Amino acid sequence: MTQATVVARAAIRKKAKRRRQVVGRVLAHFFLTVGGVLFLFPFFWMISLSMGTMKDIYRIPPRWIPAKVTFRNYPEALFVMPFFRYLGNTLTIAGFNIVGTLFACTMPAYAFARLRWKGRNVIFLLMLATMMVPPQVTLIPMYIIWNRLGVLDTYVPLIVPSFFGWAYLTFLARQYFTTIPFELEDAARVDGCGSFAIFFRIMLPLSLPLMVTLALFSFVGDWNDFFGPLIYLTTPDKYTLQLGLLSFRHQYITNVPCLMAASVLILIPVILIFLFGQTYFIRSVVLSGLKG
Amino acid sequence: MGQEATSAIRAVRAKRGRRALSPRAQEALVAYLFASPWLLHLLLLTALPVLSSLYFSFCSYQIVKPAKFWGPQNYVRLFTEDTRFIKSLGNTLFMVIVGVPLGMIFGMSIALLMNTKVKGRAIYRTMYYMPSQVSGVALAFLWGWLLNPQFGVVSNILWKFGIKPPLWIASPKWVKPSFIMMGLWGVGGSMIIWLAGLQSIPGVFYEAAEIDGANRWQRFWRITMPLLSPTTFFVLTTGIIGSFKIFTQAYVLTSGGPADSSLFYTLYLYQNAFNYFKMGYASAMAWVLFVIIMSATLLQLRFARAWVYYEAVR
Amino acid sequence: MDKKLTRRALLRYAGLVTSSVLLAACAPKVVEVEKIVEKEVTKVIKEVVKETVIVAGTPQVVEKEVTKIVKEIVKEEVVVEKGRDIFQGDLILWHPWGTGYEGGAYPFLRNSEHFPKLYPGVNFINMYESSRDKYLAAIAAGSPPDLLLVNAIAIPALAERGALMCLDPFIKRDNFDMAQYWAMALDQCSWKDRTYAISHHPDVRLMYYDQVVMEEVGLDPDKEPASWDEAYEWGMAMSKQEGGRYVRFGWVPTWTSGPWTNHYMIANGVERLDRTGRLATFHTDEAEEAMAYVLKCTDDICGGRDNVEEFQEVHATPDGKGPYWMFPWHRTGMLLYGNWLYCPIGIIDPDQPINNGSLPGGPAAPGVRHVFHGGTMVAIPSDAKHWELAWEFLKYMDSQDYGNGAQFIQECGDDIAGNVAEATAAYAMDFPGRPKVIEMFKMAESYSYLPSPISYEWEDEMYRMADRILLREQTIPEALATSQKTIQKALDEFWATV
Repeated sequence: MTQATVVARAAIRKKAKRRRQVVGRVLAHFFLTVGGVLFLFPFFWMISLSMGTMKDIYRIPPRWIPAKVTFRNYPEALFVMPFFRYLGNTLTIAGFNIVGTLFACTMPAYAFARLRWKGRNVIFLLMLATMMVPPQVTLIPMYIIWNRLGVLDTYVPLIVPSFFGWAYLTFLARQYFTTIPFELEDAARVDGCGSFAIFFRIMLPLSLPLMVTLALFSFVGDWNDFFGPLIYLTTPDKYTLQLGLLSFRHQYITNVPCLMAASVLILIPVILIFLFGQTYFIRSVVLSGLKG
Repeated sequence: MGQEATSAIRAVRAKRGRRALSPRAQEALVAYLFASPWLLHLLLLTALPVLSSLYFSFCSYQIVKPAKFWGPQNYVRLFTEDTRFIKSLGNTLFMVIVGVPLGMIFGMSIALLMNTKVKGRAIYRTMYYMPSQVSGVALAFLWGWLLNPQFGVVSNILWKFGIKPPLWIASPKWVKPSFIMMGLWGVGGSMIIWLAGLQSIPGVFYEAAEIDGANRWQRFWRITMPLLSPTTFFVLTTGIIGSFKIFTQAYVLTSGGPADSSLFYTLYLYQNAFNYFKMGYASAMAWVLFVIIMSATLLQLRFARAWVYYEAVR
Repeated sequence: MDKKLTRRALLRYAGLVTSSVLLAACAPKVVEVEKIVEKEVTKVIKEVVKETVIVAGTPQVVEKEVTKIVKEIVKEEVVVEKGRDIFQGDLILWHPWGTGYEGGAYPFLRNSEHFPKLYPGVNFINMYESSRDKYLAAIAAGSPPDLLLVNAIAIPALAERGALMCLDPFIKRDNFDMAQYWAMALDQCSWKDRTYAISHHPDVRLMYYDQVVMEEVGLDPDKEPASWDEAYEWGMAMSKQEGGRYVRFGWVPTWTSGPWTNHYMIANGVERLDRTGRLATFHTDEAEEAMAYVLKCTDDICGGRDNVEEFQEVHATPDGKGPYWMFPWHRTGMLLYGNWLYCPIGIIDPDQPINNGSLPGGPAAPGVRHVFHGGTMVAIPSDAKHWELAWEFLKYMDSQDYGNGAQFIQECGDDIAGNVAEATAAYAMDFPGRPKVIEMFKMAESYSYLPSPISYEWEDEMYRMADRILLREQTIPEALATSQKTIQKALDEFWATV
């Protein structure tokens, strides 16, 4: 075989590979787009509803685009429900909870994943067990406890639990920690690092995708939670955004245009956070230098 | 003999330093410190409500009146007289057995797609994630719309294939599959978890495999799946636990109908607790569910050793 | 547990209240209050008694000492509270109607301004996200709101379990005129002849006739069907198909607000429970006849249950399915529905020609026509903190200043048609159907729910029975038998815990 043939064959293979890549990419784009449109379809409807009037919306047969497109519902949604106050409330709760979650879920997870201690498996099982009891039956005892502590109609029942961790997220963190190889830790121990140093200087920095995930879950959990605020809050000034949504359901009819407008507005921060937080989902550069 | 041993131990201890603990004990202490938030959670926030509900399950508790102890009557009635209990358990098992695998396959597939170097990846991810963020009230409206026989996308697709769409949530046969569809629509939430797991697999492995001549399929099965198994285990376990507790959509959309075909276990529990004032009975139901889920989870944990690959766990 | 005041306490209390009102009018001051309550206490007495007993397996007769347990209910006076300001502090009302400006919710929005004008020093808090689990948890924890808006269906359930305060002593003390309310409103608010709430927003389920459609098919638009058979014929006449698909249903008897099995059983003369309220007696021939009639209508007029469901889905609105928004678009000819149907009518077609009426009695009870009532009312939970002030509010609800006094309710003011967005206040105050609707309120005697402590279980079971019948999962006698067994079990279980 001559040098030229080898080079030519390599070039052909490369071209074929690139063509396959392009075809693959086009196919991927196609499926993703089709799927994406299907997934997003209800949002088109949501936005369409939010730009109509009550009479348009309840037209039979319904129309995709309302006869009279109006943007009136957005300002109305912002002021019928005190949107900005509720936004502030929700952000406060979510903010505290993110801090609480990040510490209280990662630390026990490290203990479950890396340290050996008596009762580890039992406590882990108990943690899983807490996820298995339906909340409906613990509602009344919890309510009574918070009542005795005198913290009903405050944010305490909504914030304090996150500083003690969530079973679901702790479990997630534990699984993540088990994927981090021992070598780094062993090297650090040889250098004389204690567990705390290892945790804060090695595990956490390597767990950026996990931390972002935990923060995101915590945030959207609070953003979308209406059961907690519904049960524990009574003063309307303290309500959160989701409770504010409920206020569009009136005695006889639901003010659907405003409800949809408000829902769209509430979705926007989550979308933005997700869109821009994705840079942290990119593979952490540190890991790839590991095996070298 | 005892005296010798004691003095020997004392000598060893003196060598190590009086206050020093064995490495084992030291690790345990550190572990307890790390785990303290969760331990406190168990003691302060969980123990009392959970044990209360256990107590209530042996009582007649009508919520607005104090609880009256009356022994295991609730459990007896549950297992001998209650046909709705059996029905609700059956409905829920259907959701678990069908819904969880489908959700996992769907979620993993989407995450794999999202993990490739497609341009505009961020936007696609957002598109698939958004539906999982729509909550109760709005979600009920939107799904009523999706499934509408005349205008809904799902029904339109079926029409194009010449199939008459079913009545979805108004049909006893189709109401559970409809809920599964709704669940799949919201799979974007779990997509994040899969992505986090996928991201933790070092790219180096793939590069090395490609050099060794492995094709796409082999790379998937030999590298991705094993290294993803902790995540898979997580999604499976929490998915099963979550599916057993399915509640909100049925509560909002069907109230368990038609004819109890979407009566899920926790919905029936809720009805007993807050509609029929039978909180004791509902608590008994909760503990039965707990035993069921715990058994399922223990089974999974036992089998986990066979297929879950933990890179680093002691 | 209901609280009754003894005569002595009444006098003392009346004196205290009068003086405290006078004092409060001048300036906020501390007033001493004693709340004396009669409690029913169950005393258990063990008696040892000599009884003659036959020894098992032998003809021997022996005297044995047997311990008998006797329960005695004794009325005791208990002093509950002392030394508290009555007319100061937060007065809290819970209702589930959001911040709407329609229906009964509107006046609540003004309470925080208007009520403190009468009682300075009172902060009226209007909590508009009430829900069952929330208020039950609050009652269980011993810190309920002072005022609770509940549905009529909740009154027997809560009152029998002692969660609500009996209002009769207050009514008597203040000479509150209950006769100004409609009979049905009084019925709803009481349980076992005791009043537990003040009516806030009663409603009825009555017949709506689409006069345009009636004229189209040649029926007299001002007439009502005299019997079930006539209703069936009119329904058949008003149904319309185009190209093999239904575009209008003449009558869908299953489209009522609430489980339809209730309404048609009652209209055919069925007694759902016996006089003691502990025996389910609804599985009768009349009930079977009623169910069969509805099934026949659904099959003949509407083409079957599945067809009805599909019709609903095709005409689904963002609010869901059902006839609520369909009637103003002339998709049904007749409808048995709540008076609040004027809400969508006011929004879509305020000038729609409508006749209102009542459901004719069934073949087994043809003489009586039926209008079914339900509604909401405001009650005071037993452990409410400011129960005296709460009662003042209940009286205030009667006033014109509140905007929804008894008289106003009786004139179907302000709320029937809703005030959201398009509907105008003028329409709400004077919609065309008002005189007829008022007549129906007066006529309403039949309960749209079951007045019993197991009212919720009844409701759920009725929905299930309806499904089973329509889906043909069981024959009608089987469905009724199953449901009667379930209801009887629920009744037995409940009364055993009392």
